[in-house]
Amino acid sequence: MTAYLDHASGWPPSDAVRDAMARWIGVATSPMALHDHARGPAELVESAHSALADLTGWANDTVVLTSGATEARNLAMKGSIAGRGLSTPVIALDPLAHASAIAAARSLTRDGGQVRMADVDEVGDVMPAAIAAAAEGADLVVITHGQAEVGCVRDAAALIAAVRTAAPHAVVVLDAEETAGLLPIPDGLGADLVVMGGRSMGGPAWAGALCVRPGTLLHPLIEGGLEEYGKRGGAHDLPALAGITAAAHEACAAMPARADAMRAMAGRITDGLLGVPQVVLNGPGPHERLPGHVQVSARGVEGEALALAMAARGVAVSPGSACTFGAGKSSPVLEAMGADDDIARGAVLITIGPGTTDAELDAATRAFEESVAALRAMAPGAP
Amino acid sequence: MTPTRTIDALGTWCPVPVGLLRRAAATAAEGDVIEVLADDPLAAVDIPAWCHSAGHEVLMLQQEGRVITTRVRISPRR
Repeated sequence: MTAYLDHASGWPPSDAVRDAMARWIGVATSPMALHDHARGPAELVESAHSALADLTGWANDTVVLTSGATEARNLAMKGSIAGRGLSTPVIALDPLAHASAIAAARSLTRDGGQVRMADVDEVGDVMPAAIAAAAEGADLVVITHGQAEVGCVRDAAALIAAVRTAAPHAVVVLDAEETAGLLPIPDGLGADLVVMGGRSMGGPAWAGALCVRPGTLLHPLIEGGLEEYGKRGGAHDLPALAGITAAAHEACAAMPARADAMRAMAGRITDGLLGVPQVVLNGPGPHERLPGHVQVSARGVEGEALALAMAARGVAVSPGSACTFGAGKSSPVLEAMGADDDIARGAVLITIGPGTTDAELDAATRAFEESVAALRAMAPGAP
Repeated sequence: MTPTRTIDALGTWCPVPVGLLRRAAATAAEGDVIEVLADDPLAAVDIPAWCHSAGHEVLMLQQEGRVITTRVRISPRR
């Protein structure tokens, strides 16, 4: 592989993250044990709480460590509804929310209640008036900070303020899976619960956290003992916790320079990709989107075929919609934004990390140009 | 009396609520008031029993709906 531009799937670990994780492979002692061997694991768990709490500025005991953002998201939504004993909840989110948030909302309302979707605009943004309209009287509202597929970064603080007026009793979840460690989220931007994953910090995707504002009632999803203040039972994955802790420290120290560098690289490759005829950038412009995030569609080309053709040329990217990959479907995200079928089917997602090189960007631009030309040559009626 | 800290043990089953209280008490200062919210009916038995054995004072124990609220004043170590 000559270029790895699929940081949406996972970041290659930095030396610090790799070393931290390696140190804990083979350590079998539970941090809950009473003897001396447990001291190191217990200190590691506490350092993970501390590193992730630093991202919101909340206290260490607000952090519930999880197996990743998907578990944290499910815990936030299902745990807060259960915590208030609601059997028919009204839940508001937007159609570009993570697939697991939409699935959890449907699951929670299977026996009654309502799921309401806020309107999104043509770049994937949500306006305060739109979320307020959807959230009026709601019990739970999910605000997606950075949209994974088209990269739109929302003004989450303004959206949450609008929700507080429209639905004063709602629990507000900030889904920061794509932004935690890359963009500041002081005080959770006003949310009650903040979902984080290791990937956006440069750590393992199989580590994550739910940060819980004090006073927010939450039932555990995985019941067990005293682990994670009773909110998440089960043994800790010590190497993963070491990885996310090291990554969070690096991310905090590097912010905002890391994001600026990733934006600059994304801007550079975007210019190259848009030089290919009939190629459009989906989502907002380079400075209003997730750092390092580029999604483009090539008319007359299927996104999955394009990703495979680029892989054959040594460049790793994703089809535009990871969640419908393999299903042969158009991207529901792009459809919700009003994109036509050609655009919705022809997207590829290119995601850059802090270690991406100019040579990788050049290789990816060449592979994209060659792949689009080759696929169009095989497709009758393609531009 | 305003609690120094509140433990949300809702959704957990005994002995988790009393375990969380015991852990919080270990780092609390004398005179601190710890509030525990729980919905396992056994918490109404377990928490006062543990407070009695540990020497802490139960200031309040009330149930509203399914939520049992206990407030405990931390006493000097015995």
